[in-house]
Amino acid sequence: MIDGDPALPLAGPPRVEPVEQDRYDRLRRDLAHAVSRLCPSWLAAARDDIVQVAVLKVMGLERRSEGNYSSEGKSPLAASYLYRVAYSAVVDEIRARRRRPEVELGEDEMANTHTSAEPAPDAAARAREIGRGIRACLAAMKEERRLGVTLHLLGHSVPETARLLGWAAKRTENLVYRGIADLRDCLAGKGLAP
Amino acid sequence: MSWPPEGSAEALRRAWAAADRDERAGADPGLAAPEDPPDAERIWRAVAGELPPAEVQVLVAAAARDPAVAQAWRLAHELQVAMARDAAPGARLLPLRSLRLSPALRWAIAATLAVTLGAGLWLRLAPDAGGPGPVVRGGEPGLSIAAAVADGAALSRHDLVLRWTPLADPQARYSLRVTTADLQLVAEVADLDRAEHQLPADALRSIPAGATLLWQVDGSLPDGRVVSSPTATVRLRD
Repeated sequence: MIDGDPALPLAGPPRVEPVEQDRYDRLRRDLAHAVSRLCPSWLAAARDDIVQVAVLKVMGLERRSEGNYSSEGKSPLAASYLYRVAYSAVVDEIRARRRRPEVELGEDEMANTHTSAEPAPDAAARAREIGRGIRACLAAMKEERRLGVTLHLLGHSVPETARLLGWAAKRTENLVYRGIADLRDCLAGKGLAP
Repeated sequence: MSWPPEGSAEALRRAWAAADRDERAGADPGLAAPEDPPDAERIWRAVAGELPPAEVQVLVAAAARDPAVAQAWRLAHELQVAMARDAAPGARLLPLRSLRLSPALRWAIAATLAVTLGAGLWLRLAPDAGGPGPVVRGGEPGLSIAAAVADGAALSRHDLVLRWTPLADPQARYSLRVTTADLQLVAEVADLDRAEHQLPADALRSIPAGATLLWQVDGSLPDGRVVSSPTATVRLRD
């Protein structure tokens, strides 16, 4: 289901040139991959719609700006800008769906919520337990360690973590090192060991 | 010192992400009450290193508390990595049809843009004063890092040595991160004093021959500056 956006004509796919199509294909592929890995599991059946909403928003935006750059000599929108717009659209769409009243999933949707790429239900339950333990342990951690470990566990390397938090590299390494050790101890205390 | 110290933080990452995917605000009484979520644009800019550290810290603290913020952060990070990978040399280029230039000049400009986009994400400036010092952009003599292994080269899993151009300062230390094409962490090593590292065959055991690995190096200078290489790729062979 795609929510209507009055600014976007949804009557059909807009005409795009081959190179632009390649760019949209790439954006769609990257979005689909990221959303399939990170979209909430209770929205599994809506992943394609969420990606489609974001891509249409980007295409609409670029089409609206196209008249400007073709007549005024401006460059097409930068890829970084398009990805940023698509990202915001995905996050907004997920948040909008999160706010809607919860509905019971039908059998087909239930079937779609578990894919072969995901862990089996028992393993998933165990991972959830550990994940909730991680959040509880983070909450009990000293603030600086919590920030360092959180960023590291969100996917950033230690040098990236240092840059983003504005800390010296060595200090960050120590905080993350000790924070991860604290986290493992805390999880072990809860009987959890990933 | 190798990183992480024991086991891999990857198991913790996966478990935490899996738990967050199943959370729906208000569904778990153990969760804190949902807050007003930060604007998506702010999260994107924070991940891109475009916000001052104080603002980033507020958002990271929110991600530690709120599964939805953590998920939005992961999504931004993954998309920015994908964007950088797509924009790396060899990727298809942006359209330049609006510029009235010769085809040769268009390709030259497009290649420059692609390299700049790819390098731009990885070679970010430090976000603000008070941090570890500026992050150096590539290009200055002795202050850039580039892969010294041909991009896309096929390397044996039993002798997979990644090499890069060293920084001029012999005190520089390097950290290396290697992932699969779908961004699963394969290895992360810090505090290297040489501009090369051999990945242990054990770390590659579960990765099939023919798989593409992405790798990137950060170099840290004694004065706190950090230099990052563009992301490069190798192909794994038996």
